[in-house]
Amino acid sequence: MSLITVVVLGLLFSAVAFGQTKSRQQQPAAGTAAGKFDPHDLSGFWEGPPPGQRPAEDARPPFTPAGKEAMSKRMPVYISRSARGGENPGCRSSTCSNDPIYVCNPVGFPRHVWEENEPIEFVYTPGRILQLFQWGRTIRELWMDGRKLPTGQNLESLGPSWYGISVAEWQGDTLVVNTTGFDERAWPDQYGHPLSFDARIEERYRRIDANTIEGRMTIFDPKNYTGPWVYTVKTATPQVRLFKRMAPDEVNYFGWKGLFSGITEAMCAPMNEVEDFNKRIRDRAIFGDK
Amino acid sequence: MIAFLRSAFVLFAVVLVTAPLFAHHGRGASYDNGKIETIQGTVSEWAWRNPHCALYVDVKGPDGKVVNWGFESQNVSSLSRLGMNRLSFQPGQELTIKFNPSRGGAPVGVIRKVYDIKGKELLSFGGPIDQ
Repeated sequence: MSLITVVVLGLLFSAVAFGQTKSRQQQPAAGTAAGKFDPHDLSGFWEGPPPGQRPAEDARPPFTPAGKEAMSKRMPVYISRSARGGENPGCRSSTCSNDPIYVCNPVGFPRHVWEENEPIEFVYTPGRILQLFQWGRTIRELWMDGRKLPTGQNLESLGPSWYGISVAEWQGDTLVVNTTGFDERAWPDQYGHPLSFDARIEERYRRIDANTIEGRMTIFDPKNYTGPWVYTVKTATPQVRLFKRMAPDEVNYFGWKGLFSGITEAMCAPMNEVEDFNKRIRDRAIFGDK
Repeated sequence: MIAFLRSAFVLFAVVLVTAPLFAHHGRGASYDNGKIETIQGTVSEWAWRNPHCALYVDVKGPDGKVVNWGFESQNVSSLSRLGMNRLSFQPGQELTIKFNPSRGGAPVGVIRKVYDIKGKELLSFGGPIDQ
């Protein structure tokens, strides 16, 4: 191996290593003059951890009888390790699963924020903070104008929705968001767990440095679970989801900055996904031509 | 060496830019990633759209029968960053394709490399191919 080859390989792998941590390193570190940040400013582009860091089912409290009954009707592609060998065998393919996202139904909340690693932009407007999601060109409104989370008849009048109804407030340097009014057809995670219409989900966002938002989430759904369900993953910080600031070139597409610049239109369109891609390619790859 | 570097760079570039998009389309159960096959044919369609772009190719078998193969590639955003666009492949164009075959045995696969009739590499994904 020549010296030039060694140097080129060294540069190459340095570049790869740099690329893998680029978005983490490009911004100045907290504590430095350039790394100062306003803890109440979450604006900008962020993304969650890789898909492998999905919520662990081990932390789920036991089902109530209603929760167990609801779960038995779900046919997920992914069976959590602790549930393998149980009553629900799951289905290992998008074509036999009844996971609603596989036929382009909305991902919904909390799955869109707490399971998928799609880019998110926080946008501040008077009385609201908006979360924009690249996947599905989706928007979520976090109401900051002091209104209360709907309950009782008010909640019944508003009815269910895929992303629920959210109110938020600052408690010190933590943005606390509460959401309710869920569409019970939406799955809160890939395992197909049930979530009731009037469940409440609390999220706590805290900016811990210039490039990181620490997130925590708890599900309160006494109809389906026997206790609160704290978001937990198998990482060094199991009850925390870290949202990292995206580097400028990760949101700059041929000079068009943002999440929705034409080629980044990450929409699940049934004409593309179900009728075209799945039928012509993916289903055949799994099951063959029958 | 140049070919290796080019392949490695393409892998690096794709890893860098594709992670956030369409994370729900894992391929593990669909294709044999440890196996690479080669086929020659004529483009019938280049489907430039998400969730994954797809190349359809008419392939004539030893018995003279033509079978239309479908090959999936990456999403539009990733391929754009590699210099591809909706006109990169034209109907009637003759190509050689190296691909991971499907587990189901249907004439579909995942593109690893595409070459034109003169052997020029037009698309590469997944690093160097050793077989």
